[in-house]
Amino acid sequence: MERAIVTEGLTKIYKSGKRQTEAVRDLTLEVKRGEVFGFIGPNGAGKSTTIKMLLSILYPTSGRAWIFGLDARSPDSRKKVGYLPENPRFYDYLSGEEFLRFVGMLAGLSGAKLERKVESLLRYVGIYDARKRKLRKYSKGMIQRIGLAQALMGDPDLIILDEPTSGLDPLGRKLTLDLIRSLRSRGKTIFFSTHILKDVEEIANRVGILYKGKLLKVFSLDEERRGSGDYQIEIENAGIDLLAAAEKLAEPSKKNENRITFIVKEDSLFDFLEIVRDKGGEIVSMARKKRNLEEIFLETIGKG
Amino acid sequence: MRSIIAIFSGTLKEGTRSKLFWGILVFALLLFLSTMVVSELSFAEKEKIIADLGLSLISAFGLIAAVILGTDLIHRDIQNGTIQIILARPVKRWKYVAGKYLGLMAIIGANLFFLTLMLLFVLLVYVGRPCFHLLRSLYTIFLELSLIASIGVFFSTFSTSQLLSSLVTLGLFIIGHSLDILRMSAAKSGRFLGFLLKSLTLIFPDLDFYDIKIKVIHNLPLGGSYYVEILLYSLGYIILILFFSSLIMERREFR
Repeated sequence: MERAIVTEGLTKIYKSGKRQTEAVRDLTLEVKRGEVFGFIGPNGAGKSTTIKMLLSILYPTSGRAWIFGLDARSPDSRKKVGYLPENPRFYDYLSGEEFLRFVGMLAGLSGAKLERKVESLLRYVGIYDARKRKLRKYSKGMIQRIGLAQALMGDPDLIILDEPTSGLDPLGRKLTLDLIRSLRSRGKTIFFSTHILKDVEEIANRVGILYKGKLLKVFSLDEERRGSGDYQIEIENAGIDLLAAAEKLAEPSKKNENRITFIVKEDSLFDFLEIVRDKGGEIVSMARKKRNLEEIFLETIGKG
Repeated sequence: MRSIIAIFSGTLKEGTRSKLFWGILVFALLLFLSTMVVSELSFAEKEKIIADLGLSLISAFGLIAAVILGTDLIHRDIQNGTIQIILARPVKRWKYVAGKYLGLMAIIGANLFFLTLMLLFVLLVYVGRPCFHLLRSLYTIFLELSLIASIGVFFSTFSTSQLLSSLVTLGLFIIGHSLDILRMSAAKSGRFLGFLLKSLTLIFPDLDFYDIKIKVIHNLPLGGSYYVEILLYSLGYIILILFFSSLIMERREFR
């Protein structure tokens, strides 16, 4: 499959007088076309720095990056790319419509095609009715949506979003995530950074964890969740005998009236089921326990 | 080319929608009207006094616009982070500088156009006939302001303080009008200082070269080659300054 983003040993060191800060360290990464890649890490992990190096807004101290096979330093590599920065600020003296027209021209559009694209994007992000209003009168949510619209100008194949839901109210966040979902369904490659893990769980296929400038782990969200090896088993009518025996093998996690849930390790599964059967318990549900992203994240940075 | 046009038109909109642009026009209108009062107090030829004051005002207001906008446009894009939206597109950085500068020129041109209309209107009302010969002076004012604006743009590509950029640009404007003094000082100074001062007179543009106000007001001939020479002189400096501005932008990073 074609690779949308490739980086090799990407490193960025900020120098300020005698002080040096290593913002990104030896980052090697691949994002395939059509993936939704969540780039997560705490504030100051180097997410925005990485994104800016992909777009040549910052230059790497060492290492290289390619976008759809083109050197990221070449302006041509950005022909198929749309970008939404963190906390975007646009030309507030322009109306929404004028701003999109401006970005459209930068993306190489003109004439009727440009006008059609401006109108369709304004409708797509739901601010067509506010198109004549100056951007200085837009709310934060509206700014984020016009930001997404400008990122989509020129129908880019790769959309890079830096903290797209940061600072939004729940409704604004939902609208933004819905827009990203609809882009995913259209087969777009999306590379987005965030420190909001819930957003990543909702929309990403693959995740990269960046911590103190170092890429600690890249994984498929589904595989990692499945790969815990633990089972979640809910039992009804568990007597004292059963509980005493079961607790030697598994950890009770939840109790609800006459039901109790155990987290059972894969290698204890058959012994546990035997105990339940022998002691007269009734299995209500059994499923492989999904690890949530927070657990994976904390475990990863704990090791890092 | 399309990206230059986009940045040019965006800059033009920014300038013409700014309070500074309209503030200058309103303030200038008031001052133009006051020149009529001043001319009444004089025994000299009133038309020449109004023309002299009027051209000086146009020059001064044009200078304010060129310095403030020249040092602000790129600086503000960098401070606001808007430049990141532009550079994330397939836009070469020299085209960004060129688009911004051309937009700035259009703003200054529009500013001069309205100020000139005001002056011609005041003269028409006061003298009773159009004074189109003054337009020759507008040509050199525009070229001088274009040069000053390019210096402002140059400083805005690397300076983190717009105030400092404006002050240095103004300082260079003053030096550019004082090269005769530098030349005289160079002749009187010792070898090292003399060499230094002489070098400065060779590096800095001679802005007195642009001052043809007296000749224009008295309708004296300038010679056809002057207009071509001053155009080439200005273009040479502007292209060189914008070239260095683009080089700086090419190397610059935006955090």
